[in-house]
Amino acid sequence: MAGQRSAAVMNRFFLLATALLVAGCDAIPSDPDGTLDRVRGERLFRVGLIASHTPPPDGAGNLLQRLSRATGAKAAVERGPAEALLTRLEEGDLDLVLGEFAEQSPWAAQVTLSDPILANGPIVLAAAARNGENAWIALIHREARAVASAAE
Amino acid sequence: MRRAIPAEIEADLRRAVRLEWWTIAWMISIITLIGLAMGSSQAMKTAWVEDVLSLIPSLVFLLAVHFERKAPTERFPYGYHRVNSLAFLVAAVALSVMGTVLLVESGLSLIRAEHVTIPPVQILGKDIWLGWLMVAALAYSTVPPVILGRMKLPLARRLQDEVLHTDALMQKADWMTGLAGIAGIIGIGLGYWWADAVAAGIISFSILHDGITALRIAVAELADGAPRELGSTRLEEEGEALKARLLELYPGAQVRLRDSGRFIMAQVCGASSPGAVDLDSLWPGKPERSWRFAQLSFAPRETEDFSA
Repeated sequence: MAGQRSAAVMNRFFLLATALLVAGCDAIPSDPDGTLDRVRGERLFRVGLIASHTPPPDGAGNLLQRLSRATGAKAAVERGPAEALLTRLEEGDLDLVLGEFAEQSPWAAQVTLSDPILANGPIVLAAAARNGENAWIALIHREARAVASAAE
Repeated sequence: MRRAIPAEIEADLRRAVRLEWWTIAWMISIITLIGLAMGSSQAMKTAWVEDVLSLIPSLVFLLAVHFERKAPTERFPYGYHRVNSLAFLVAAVALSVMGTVLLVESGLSLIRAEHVTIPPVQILGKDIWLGWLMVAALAYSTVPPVILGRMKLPLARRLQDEVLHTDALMQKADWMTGLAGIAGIIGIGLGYWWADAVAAGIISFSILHDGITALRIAVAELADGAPRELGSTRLEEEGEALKARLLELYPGAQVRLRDSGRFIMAQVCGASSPGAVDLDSLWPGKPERSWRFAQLSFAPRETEDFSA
């Protein structure tokens, strides 16, 4: 008896999962704090550029252009030191931080780093986003990869 | 004491050993898949730890059967029947400790409001959200344990084997943890950051629950408790009936029974030994289970009355 019931529950569950899989590919993943929706709505995303370079490396500009095109939003860029920008990113005051990170950066647990946009030995140019904003992070990952492969 | 493994259970025991080897092989495939898709999800990590821990009962069972077949030696004159209980206690402690650690961990990540990142990964040049791979791995992980658990349960009853019984019950219930994990991942996908930690909490609670159940059973047996029902702390009917039968045969004597592995040992105090006894003929239950009554010994009456 209990076995039949649990089998029925499982069947229904797999049906539900399949339905979600089909219907949800656009809605999943989405952002707990709604970053991507806000960027699209306000047509603006706030970028921190870690101020170790003047002028900024090509890859950084390319990534911002591609993100603008994908979201229809403008990048508001400000420069600053790494710790300050990343702390503000964690608190949600910035949407993206661009800069050079060590491949084993300790920041990798606090924020989410993209794959390297430009690799120069153990220090790589990468984009950082706030943890858990999975739709926004998916977009950044995709565009960062596109920039990296265009540069090769 | 009769021979180490009664002929009646030899075939079932061999089948159980084979099933446990299959369990280990399937679980390793699940552990590998979940490990590959784990990412930074707490629910996935907890599910992975649970799958690793679920190897313990299988290993304990195989180890115990290996020892049980050994004849008593000068150094271990009672044989090795209780290696089983000892190993079971160790497994129960491991489960309880891990369950507690993981429960605390998932509670902490809820309190800290940790937002879990699940990034996309590239497979064959296409971006796919890692969450979907996690869901697929978890869905796969629910199937083999449920089937194996169902196959082991009747064997465990016939063999009167606590380790095998606990293993079968844990596996039978395993689909629920897979389901909790999937709900957690889909929850994150829908933008609920707390879904992952809540799912992890549910899974770790089930680990802790398994651990505590196993702990109670192992302790009862190691402390020479009266025979219990499988997977429970209730006294067993077959044991109670045997005790009544012995009291009837030896009026005025004191009778006590204890579990030793899958066997029942009885001691009659205050009656003199009648010489050779056919244990099977004394067994009050079904004849195919008379092998459980493995030893009857006689001793002088004790001053303390324990039969009350």
